[in-house]
Amino acid sequence: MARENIILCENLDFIYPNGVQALHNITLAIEPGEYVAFVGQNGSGKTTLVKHFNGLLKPTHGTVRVFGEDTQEKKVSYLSRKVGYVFQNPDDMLFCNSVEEEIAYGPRMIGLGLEEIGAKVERILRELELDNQREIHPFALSLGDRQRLAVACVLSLDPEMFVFDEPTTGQDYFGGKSIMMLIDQLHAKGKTIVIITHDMPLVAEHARRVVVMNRGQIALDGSPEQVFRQTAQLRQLSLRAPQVTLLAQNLGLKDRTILEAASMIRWLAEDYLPAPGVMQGEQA
Amino acid sequence: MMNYGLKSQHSPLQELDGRSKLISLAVIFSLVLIFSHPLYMAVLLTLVLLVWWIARLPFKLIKDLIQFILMIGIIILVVQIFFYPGTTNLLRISKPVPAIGFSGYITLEGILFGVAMVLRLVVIMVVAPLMVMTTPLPELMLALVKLKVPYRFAFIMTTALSLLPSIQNHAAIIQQAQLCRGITYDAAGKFLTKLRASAALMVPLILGAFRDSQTLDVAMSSRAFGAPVKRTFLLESHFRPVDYLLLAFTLLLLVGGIYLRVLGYGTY
Repeated sequence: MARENIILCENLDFIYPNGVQALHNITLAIEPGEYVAFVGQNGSGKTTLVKHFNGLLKPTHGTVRVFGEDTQEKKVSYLSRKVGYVFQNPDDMLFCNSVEEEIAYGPRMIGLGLEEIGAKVERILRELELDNQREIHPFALSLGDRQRLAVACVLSLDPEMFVFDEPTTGQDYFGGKSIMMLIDQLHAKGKTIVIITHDMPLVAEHARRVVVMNRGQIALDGSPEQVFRQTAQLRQLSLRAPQVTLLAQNLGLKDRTILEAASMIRWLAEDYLPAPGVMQGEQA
Repeated sequence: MMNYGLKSQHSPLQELDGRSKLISLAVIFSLVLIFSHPLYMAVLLTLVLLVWWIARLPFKLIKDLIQFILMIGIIILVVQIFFYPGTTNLLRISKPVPAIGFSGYITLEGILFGVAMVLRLVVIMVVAPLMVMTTPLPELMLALVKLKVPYRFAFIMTTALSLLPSIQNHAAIIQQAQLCRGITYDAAGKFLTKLRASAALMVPLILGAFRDSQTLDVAMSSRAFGAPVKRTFLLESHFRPVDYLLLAFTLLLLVGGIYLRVLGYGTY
C-alpha cells in the first residue's frame, strides 16, 4: 500500500517579488522516513524549493501539500510543528540568554505547560549533549555547538520532518561529522530528513535519495547510486560524483556495492587520520 | 518597508555630477528649515515631486515612506495643534493648563504650523532617496571628498548606505528563521508578542552587524585603509553645463528663499 506523502508539490512555480522565476513546474513527493539530499549549483532553486516545505514561501502557481494540508492556507508557526527547518547560519536562529532558555522558547510560544517544557528541555539537552552548557550564553558556544543548539531549538517543536540547509558548511571535519551523526540519529528514529548540500561525499554516505536541481527544475531524482552513475549529465550540471564512488565505479562495482565500497574506503582512510588533538598540535 | 537597494531607471539625474546633486540637496534641506509656513512647504514638496518624476523613481516608494512616518507625522500634528502658542482661537476645548503650556484653545496658527511641520518631514524623507537612488555609491563618495568632506567620514556614510540592503536581507532571513521556531510576527494588536518578536529579530541582527563591521575593519586595514598618503580615485567627475544650470537654479532658489524670509514671508 502506498504511504501518504509528507510533502507533495504539484506543478509548483515560484516567482520572487523582483520578477525572478526561481522554480519552474516542480512536481515532487517525499514519503515518511525518506532521507533526501538536494544538490545543485548556487541559484539552482534548492533553498527556494525547500522553503515551500514549511510555508516560508508560498507557491506563485501550483500547490504544495504538507501532510495533506495546502500551505497556502497555513501559517509557518503552524507548519513548523510538522516540518522543522534548520538554517545554514545557526546564529540567525538564536537570541535568548542561555542554552536552556533557547530550547524552551519554541515550546513556550506554542503554549505547552511548564512541566512538559521542563521535561522536553532536559531530554533534548541530554540527547544533544548540551546539558553541561545549559546556562551558557548561546553566542559563547563553538560553531559546532551553536549548530547543535539550532537543531535542539527545532527539535523542541517535535516535528516529523527536518530540513537542514547546508548543515556542515563552515564546520571542521569533526564538527561536520558530529552534526551528520545527529541527523542520522534523527533519521534512525523515523524522522524524515531533507538536506541541502554541495558536499557529494556526504550525499553518498548519508542520503538515500538525491534530487539534483538546475535552473529551477529537477534535473535528476533517484538513489545516490542511480544519480552518481549519470556522470555525463552531472558534468553538464557542474557536479561530480565523489571520488570514492568514481573509483568504485571504475573498479566495475555496481549499484549499492558502489556505496558500500565507498564507505569501506572512507572508513579505511579514517583509520589513518590522526586524532583531533594531534591535528591541532600539528597546526599549532 | 522601503527597499534601500533599489536604483532608479536611467534618468537625467544620473547624468548629473554628485557634487551638484549634494549641493541641491543641502539647499532643499536649508529651505525646509528656514520656512515654517505650509504653503511654502507645499511649494517645496511639489518641486521635489517633480524631480522625483524626472528621476523616474516609482511613486509607490513615496507611499511606503509616508506609511513609515505616518505615526510620527500624526504625533507632530497633534502636539503642534495643542501646544503652538497661536493668537487666532478657533475652538475652546478645555480650561487653560499652563503647566503643560496648553491655552485651552485650538488655534489657526497651531493647525498651520502642525501641517507645515508634517510637510517638512515629508519633504526631508522624500528628497533624501533622490540622492541615494540616482547616484552610485562610489560617485557619492567622490562627490563628498571633492566637497572637502574628510575621507573617513565619507567612507562611513557610503558604507552605511551600502550595508542597508544587506541588513534588510539579513533581517528577512532572521525573520524566516524565527518563524520556524514558532514565533509569529503577524500577531496584530498583541503588544507583548510583537515586543518579544522584535527582540528575537534585533539580537541576531545587531550581533551580525557587529561581526560584519569587525570583518570589514580587518578587510579595510589589510587593504591599506587610512594609509598616510594622498589616495588615488579610479573615478573622475567633471562639471558639465547641466550641472552649472542646476547650481544656478539652486542658488537662485536659496537667495530668493532667504530674501523672502528676511522680508518676513514664509513664517508667522
